[in-house]
Amino acid sequence: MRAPFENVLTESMVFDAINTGLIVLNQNSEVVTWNKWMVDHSLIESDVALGKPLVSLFPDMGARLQMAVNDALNLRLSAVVSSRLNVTLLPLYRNVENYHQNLRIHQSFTVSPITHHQQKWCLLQIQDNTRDDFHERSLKENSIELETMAAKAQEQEFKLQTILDNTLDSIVILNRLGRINGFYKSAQKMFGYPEYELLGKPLSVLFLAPYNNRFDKIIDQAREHKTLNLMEQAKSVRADGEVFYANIAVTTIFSGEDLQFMVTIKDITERHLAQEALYREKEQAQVTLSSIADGVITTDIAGRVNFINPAALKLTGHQIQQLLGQKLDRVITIQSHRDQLPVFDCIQTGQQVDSVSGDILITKTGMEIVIHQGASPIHNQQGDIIGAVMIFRDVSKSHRMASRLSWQASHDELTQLINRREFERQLELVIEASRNENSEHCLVFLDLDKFKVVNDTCGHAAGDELLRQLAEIFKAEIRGADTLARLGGDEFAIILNRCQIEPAVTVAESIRTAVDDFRYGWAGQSFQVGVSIGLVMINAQSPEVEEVFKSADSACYAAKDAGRNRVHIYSQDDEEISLRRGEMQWLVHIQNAIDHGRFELNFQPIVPVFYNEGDHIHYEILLRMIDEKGASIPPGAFLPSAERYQVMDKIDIWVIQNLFEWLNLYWDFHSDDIFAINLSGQSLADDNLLYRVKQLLEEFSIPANRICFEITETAAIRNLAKAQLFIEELKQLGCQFALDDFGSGLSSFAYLKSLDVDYLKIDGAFVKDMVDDPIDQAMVESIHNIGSVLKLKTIAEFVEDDAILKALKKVGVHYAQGYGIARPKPLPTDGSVLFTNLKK
Amino acid sequence: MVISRDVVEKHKQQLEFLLNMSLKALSEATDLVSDVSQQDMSVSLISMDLLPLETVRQDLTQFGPNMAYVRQRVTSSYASDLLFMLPQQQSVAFIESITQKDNKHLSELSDQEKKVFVEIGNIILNCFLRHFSQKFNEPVNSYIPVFNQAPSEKLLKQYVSENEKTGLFYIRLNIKFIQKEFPGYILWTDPGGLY
Repeated sequence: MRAPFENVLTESMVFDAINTGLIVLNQNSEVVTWNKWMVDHSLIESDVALGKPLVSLFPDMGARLQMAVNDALNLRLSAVVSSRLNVTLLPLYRNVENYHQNLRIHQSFTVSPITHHQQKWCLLQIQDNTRDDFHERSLKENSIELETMAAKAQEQEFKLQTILDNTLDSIVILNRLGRINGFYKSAQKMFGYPEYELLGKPLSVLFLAPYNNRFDKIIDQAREHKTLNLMEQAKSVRADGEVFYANIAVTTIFSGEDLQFMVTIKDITERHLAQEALYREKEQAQVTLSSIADGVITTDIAGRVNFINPAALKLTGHQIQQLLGQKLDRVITIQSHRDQLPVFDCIQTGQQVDSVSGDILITKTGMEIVIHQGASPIHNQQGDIIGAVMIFRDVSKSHRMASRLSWQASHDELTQLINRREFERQLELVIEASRNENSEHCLVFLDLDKFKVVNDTCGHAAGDELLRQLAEIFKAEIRGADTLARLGGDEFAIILNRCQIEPAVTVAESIRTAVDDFRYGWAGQSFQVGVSIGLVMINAQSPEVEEVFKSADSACYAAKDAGRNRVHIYSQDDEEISLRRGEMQWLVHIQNAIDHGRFELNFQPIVPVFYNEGDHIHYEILLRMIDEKGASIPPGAFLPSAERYQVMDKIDIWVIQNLFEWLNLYWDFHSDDIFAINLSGQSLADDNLLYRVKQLLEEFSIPANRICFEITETAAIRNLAKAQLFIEELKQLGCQFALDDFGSGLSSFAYLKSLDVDYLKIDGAFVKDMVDDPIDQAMVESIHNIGSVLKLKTIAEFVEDDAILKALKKVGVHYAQGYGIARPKPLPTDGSVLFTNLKK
Repeated sequence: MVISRDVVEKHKQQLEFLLNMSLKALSEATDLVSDVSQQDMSVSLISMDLLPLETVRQDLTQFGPNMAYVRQRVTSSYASDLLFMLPQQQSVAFIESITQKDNKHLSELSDQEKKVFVEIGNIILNCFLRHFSQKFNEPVNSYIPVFNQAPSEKLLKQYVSENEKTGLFYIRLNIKFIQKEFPGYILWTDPGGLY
């Protein structure tokens, strides 16, 4: 077939110039056009191809292409066919070499129907897609790589964004000018600003002064040096004005050539507040430890000091620099029965070491302080021991007081010798030893002669001094192994240890001689006293203590009976003499005094230490015996015998009855004065006493609230149940009660709560020396304080001068009694006033 | 409006006729694609109907914003467009399933892959046209198929007259290659010859 341009340009020239394969098939599917491209790629010349059915040229052209050709020719349907989808297409090659290698080109066909003048043709256009496929594959690989990278980058950016958005710390990015250009969601959450509000603003908008200006300056400097690594704490402020504490970290980052700053902000408010609370707690603990009077030292686990409070510094005498970091046992010296300091014990055992007393702290200056110390381990939160704390305090004062009390319980305050109680205990030991060892000892009983003369003439002070000097004389005559005691009044006793009768007599005689030779001077007068001495041997056959004592007492009476100032060795007859001449004699005297009215009532005022208008005066009623010659006998002479022979109840009733009678006759009860009557232990034990007192109160119309009964603490304790009943019954009537000689017995404090008394009479032994003796003063203070706690009034006895009165005022004692205020006097029968010197 | 019983019956017969024709065309197309690609392909006809434009629009838009499609211009006694469509976002996976020899794929179809897509569409559409032409003895002339991508809304606006009254020939397919399934659509924009 020929195209219309035959004269100018042939169809084949046009077709050959086209760079695609062109095949035109006629109705019979025979090739009518086969251009040069087809010749080159099929290696089939056109003259070979023309006129031949396509399928005969390419027997394996495939059903798909064949169908497309048929559809085009018969149904006028167009089709596209490519080697991408079709496994088999035409055997076309780029060159001969490829042909030999069987490398077909990648080809794509468009199959189009052509209709012209009722004739149907089919046009196949074939393209070589090999290069396109190659390029596309290459491009695709690159694209895939780029796409993968982009996806990765996108993923990383997403991850980073997610991290920045969700991190608990805020992330803020600043540009090189220090202006915000990244404000992530984490920061938005923390500060409450949306990002757009802060973009372009300086970092300082997020902080309070002075931090805000500081950050801007720091970033200015960092920009110059292009480096910054800053970590600071600052106060930040949120959009709603809430202030919080923050940790700020600023680092430089580079985005390409551009310098930027990454600011990480961490909200540390909770931590900060916790630290503040911890600091306050620590400070409070430090202040507390600094304030307390106890010494406190803490150590690490090696026992090195890491804290010491002022009290501990004061006690040890060290400077803080000398102790910190040092091992405790190298810088603190403590004398103790322990092998090591309690601190080290509790570090090793993990156990608290209970308080121990009696250890002695040697201060830096060498002074010894008795301390009470304890230690506890310090644990960390995991429960591990990290050190120990030692707590100690100076107990020297209380230690001395305790020693003193212990000493007082066993000694006679006046002569410093052991007292009757301690002597009896030692005598018991000696008797036991003689039984066990078949040893011999000697008990010496001494009773002074004419001592009463000194006492009555010159007063108690003179008598006391005489007793002290005589004690020294006795001491000089005995050995160190012997035991000397003052039993009471003018009675002394000695145990001559491991001593037979002959040498014992020699010692006794030398004592007697020494006393006989002794001249006692007082207030310009000279006195001579004597001593009557009884001796009793102690051996394996000796009876119990009481019997031995009784024998010695009897021997002593025998000596007196024989003319005084002599030594008498005990014999069986002595007891009869004693009964007849000694105690029995006193019993006769007492009975006579009762029967013939030779007892006399004296009074001694008890005055308020702080006088206020309306305060009442107390009067203690004291008893005196008048002998046949009219001389006054003090109660110390006859009361021991009265007690021994159970007649104290009679004496007490006599006193009560006679006082009430006197009051009824002479006293004006319009005054508030109170009369104090001493009651003995025997009276308290007497079931009739209560009835009799009530009867007498009624008989003489005595207002009960004007009467105060004084009971010694020993008497009250010995008859506690009866004393409690007696007190309860009479208090209901209005009577008052005082506990006498308080402080002389060690158990007083324990019983105090059991006795419903109104007054505490402080034992005169503490009062009379309180100005000079701090221990005595402390005892007075302690008793007064105890009384105050129990809401009791306190009365001090033996107030002998103004200095004592002044000291009592300082302590706050309520009442005072003693020679310094007024001496005892007989109750007047002429209506005169008892005491007028109240405001002295 | 009253629809006569005869009209309803005629419509029913028409649809049955078309359904048979479609099933045969799809069967033939399936065999052909499997043969040329040497991949097992199966096609299920989910639905086939003559539907108003609005119904087709609603149905297509529910599968995503964009469609990848092959369009063949068809002329006989009238001119119309025949389209084979697939949701664009699944077109890459669709081609990947067919051309398993090439395991490198971008997120979008390359030129060569578009050619594969076009050829598959062409095979399916030509099968339809072949059967249509044979059954109705109606000579048709189809043009070279082209590939395009567009939102379904725009696509319908471009190829379907808003005044279309006769309804669109609309087929929903489920195309399966080995384990993967893809929704496919065939749309004849003016199937006047079918009535």
